[in-house]
Amino acid sequence: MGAIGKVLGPATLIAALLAGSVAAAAALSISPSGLGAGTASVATCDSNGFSFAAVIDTNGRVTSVTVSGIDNACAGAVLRVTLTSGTTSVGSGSTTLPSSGFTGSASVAVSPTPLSTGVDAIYAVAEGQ
Amino acid sequence: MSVRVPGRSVVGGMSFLLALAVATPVTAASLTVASRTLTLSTRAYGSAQTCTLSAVADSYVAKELSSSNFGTATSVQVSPDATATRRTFVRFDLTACSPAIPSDAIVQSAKVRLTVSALAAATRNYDIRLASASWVETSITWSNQPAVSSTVTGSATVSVGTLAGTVVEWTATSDVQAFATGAAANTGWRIGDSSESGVGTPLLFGSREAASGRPQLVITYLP
Repeated sequence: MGAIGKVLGPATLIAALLAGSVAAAAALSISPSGLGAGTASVATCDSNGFSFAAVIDTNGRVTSVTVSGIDNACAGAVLRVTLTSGTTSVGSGSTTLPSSGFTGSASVAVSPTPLSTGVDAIYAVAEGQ
Repeated sequence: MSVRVPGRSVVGGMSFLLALAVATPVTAASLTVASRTLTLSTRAYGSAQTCTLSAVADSYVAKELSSSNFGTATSVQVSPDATATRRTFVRFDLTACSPAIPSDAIVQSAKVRLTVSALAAATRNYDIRLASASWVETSITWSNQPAVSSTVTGSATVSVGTLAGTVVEWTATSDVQAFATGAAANTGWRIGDSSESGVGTPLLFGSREAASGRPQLVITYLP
């Protein structure tokens, strides 16, 4: 994949992930050159990423994803998970992280439930207030 | 990396902050587009790997010989017979796979394979279930065998007349995924007849002590 493709792929996914709740974000123009350069300026509830653990049923389908390593700063956020095959979403789900007593992990049920052979990436977005 | 998009009012006329934290590799970027904070984490998987494991432990237990251990036998057995029930236990070490199966892997396929070592005398259905506790190859007996999961992991039918050398395969993808993520302990599996009642003759498979046709676990996974 070329440099532009590497940028456009995530940008497209971001738009898809946000489409449900922040439709306007999908309309924003994100240029490849802009995403590929510059200095990190992160204001986020978790700066070091999440960990994922897929749950697969006896039919070989991914039914949920346990997301862990979520900083407490994300408590109260809506956690959205999307499974993809290439650039196609093959399953997604969301849950609201508890505002109090948050333990840093959450299980997100996925629908539809894709075969594990048809998943090549997992994306999660914690949408804070 | 970072990018700043000209402000567009989405929520209350305030700027919108999108923060990206990409897990593998760990990089981050921020995007000011509205008033909420979002964190994105990504796990993109590489190409599929296949690992073929040999059993590290196997044995069978016999109801009528409830205190006997068969851990060093060259065959393992399964029988539905109500008074001479036989069940096979087998375990594999997933850490022997290379590249290692990470805790966030996606297991695409896992097959437990046993090879028939004597002609099948009846058509029977055999279930594989996750053992609920650890067991020791050289001391497991009918009397001390561990309980098993109430969920059948997979099933396989062996038809009457099936010849020695035939490989029988059970799908165990769900369990191996659980082993990889730590959701379940790798205590191995029990293979038994799906209906242990009446009369029946044992079906024999090669054990790990056999000269050939030893148990295998074949895993295809995205590391």
